[in-house]
Amino acid sequence: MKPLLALLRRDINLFFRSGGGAGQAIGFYLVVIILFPFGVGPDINLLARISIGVLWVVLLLAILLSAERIFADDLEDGSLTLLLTAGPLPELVILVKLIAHWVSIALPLLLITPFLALMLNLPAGGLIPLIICMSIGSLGLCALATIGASILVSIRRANQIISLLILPLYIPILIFGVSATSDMTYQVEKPYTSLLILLGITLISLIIAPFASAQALKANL
Amino acid sequence: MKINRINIQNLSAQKGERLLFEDIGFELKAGQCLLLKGPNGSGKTTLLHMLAGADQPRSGDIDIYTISSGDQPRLDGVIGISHFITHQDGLKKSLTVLENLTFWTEYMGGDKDRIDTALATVGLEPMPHILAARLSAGQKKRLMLARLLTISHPLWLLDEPSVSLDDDGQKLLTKLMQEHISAGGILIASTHLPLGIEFDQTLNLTGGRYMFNDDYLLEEENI
Amino acid sequence: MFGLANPTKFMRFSSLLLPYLVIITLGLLGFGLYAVFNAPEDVLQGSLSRILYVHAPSAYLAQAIYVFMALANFTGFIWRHPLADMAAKNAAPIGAVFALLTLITGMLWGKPAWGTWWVWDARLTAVLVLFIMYLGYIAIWQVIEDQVKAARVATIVAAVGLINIPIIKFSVEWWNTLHQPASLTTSGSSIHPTMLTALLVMFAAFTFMFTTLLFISVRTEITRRRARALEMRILQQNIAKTNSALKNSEAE
Repeated sequence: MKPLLALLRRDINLFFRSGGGAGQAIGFYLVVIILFPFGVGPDINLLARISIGVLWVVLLLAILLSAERIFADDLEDGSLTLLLTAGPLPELVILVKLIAHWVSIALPLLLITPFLALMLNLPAGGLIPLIICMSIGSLGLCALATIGASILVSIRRANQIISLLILPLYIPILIFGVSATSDMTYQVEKPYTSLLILLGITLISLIIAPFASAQALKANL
Repeated sequence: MKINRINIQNLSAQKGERLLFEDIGFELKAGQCLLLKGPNGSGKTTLLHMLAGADQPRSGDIDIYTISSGDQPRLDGVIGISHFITHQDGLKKSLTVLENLTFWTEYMGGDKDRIDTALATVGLEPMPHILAARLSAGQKKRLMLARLLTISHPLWLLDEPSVSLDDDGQKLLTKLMQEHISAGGILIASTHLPLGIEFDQTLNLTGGRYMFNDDYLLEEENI
Repeated sequence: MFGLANPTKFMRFSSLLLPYLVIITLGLLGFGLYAVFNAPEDVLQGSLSRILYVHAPSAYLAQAIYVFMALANFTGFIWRHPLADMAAKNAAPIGAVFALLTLITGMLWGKPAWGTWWVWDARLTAVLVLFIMYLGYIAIWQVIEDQVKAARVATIVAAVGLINIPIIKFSVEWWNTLHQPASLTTSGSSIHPTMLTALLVMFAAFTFMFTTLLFISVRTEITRRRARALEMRILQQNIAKTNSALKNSEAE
């Protein structure tokens, strides 16, 4: 347990110190959300109607684009070899790296989401459901991104192919993420069904990701 | 943990379409060291990778016998018992000297109390809070050597360890290796430069041959 | 050594089998098409319903080939059958083409039936996602040069994909019923026995077509790899000759 905690601390520390990782994702998130009203027009009612979907899609893309970074630095300086052979189970090492990635990429995005939601005129009472659903969903998105990153770890500039591989897997999380958010926002009958399914898909992704990634890294090293 | 002996049998390695070496074998007992020799691309680094558990052999076995495992080879194989020093330093530029060493010490189950003395031994005592990015190549190597001191692993795998070390650094390296061996550790090193210690065995890798994955397609046609 | 998985035996066996496969495929296709154009037209949709005879078998194959591909990869992964990996690799483009055919026939049907080329219908959308998954899988074989490594990685991609296909289908259906229900079926009209026969024959014909195409492309791959191995062997011999000639001249 102690080695894994040390790894978690180091990874989060690294992300915030080198700045590049979270900064890039936040920048992307911000720019696309700000550009959106210019594309579809400033109609407040229209923006309110599409706000949940737009925020989800852009969050998903921001995480997708940062996927390549999960293992790239550790591969380059040889840390990855040491991390995987020093003793802790590779699956657990990957799980820790996945959580560290979530803390350093998804969490900052979630923190600025309230401001962007205001700009898109998110319906009243929608903010808390949005944050809850996004917190859960983004964990699943990070898990799937980890699979993509490990599959193509030895390929340089693999981002396009990672997108192609991972995009289909992202669709269920997007569908149930948006559906759970709007169900809770508009207080429909049985507002938590989608949320539970979202939770289920996230859990499945979290279980599959470490095993698939460990196999992929073993094949690639 | 202490290794009694390490036994390698019929080990073959393949990288892409090159058969780097074939059917090599050796045995080392506690306190012995082996020198790997051979031209570039003969598979020295790959062999060390395999001994570290980072690469799968094409065929053959690497068996580790520890005191607790007795006559049976260790179940975990080579995982978690070795230090692996290569040109890849495993250091993070945006962490300080101390943070880098502390991380690897914690991660590999070493002793944090030894960090100060280790830094002093390798001569990095005055600069624990300097970012690793500011270190010279030699200083980075010294920081890697500090890892050997804070974590007691019985198997040292050193790939060209003296590269970029100055005279003092090389003397330090020699001293560390001597201490490790006399304490009953096992050491396997590849080098082109003299390391200042007497090796018990030498393994010459002569360079591989091409071995196409699809060669069998031709061979079986003759059947 | 591998029984039928031995490439030489496979080449011999498949060259015997292939003519029969081609004949059966053509025969079934001919019979199927004849049956299709002799089947009574659907009361509601008229001649349009005939697209179904291509659309449905393609959709079925697009999904079945993915499963086949994953299983072949798995076989190659566990028993180290190079042929199984080759089968998986070569099945992917064929599966992608069937997925594309499903999409195209769906669109052709959609224009007159729904008045628009593309409707985000649950089944069509699922096939679209499947098509993207095929492209990702094919890309893996393209970007990883070492074919042994590529096979291992492709296995992981196929396995993760296989686990996700039901989840994707479920979520797309959920999403679709939420927004706009519509579907490519001949709902509201009973299936006439002759229509059923024609449909079944077309299913069989398409399955045989896949088998034939797979055999041909695996054979091509083996031949191509053989040619390359032979080329490399000659190259190596030449290098060895040059080296010994150099040594001789140095000795003199």
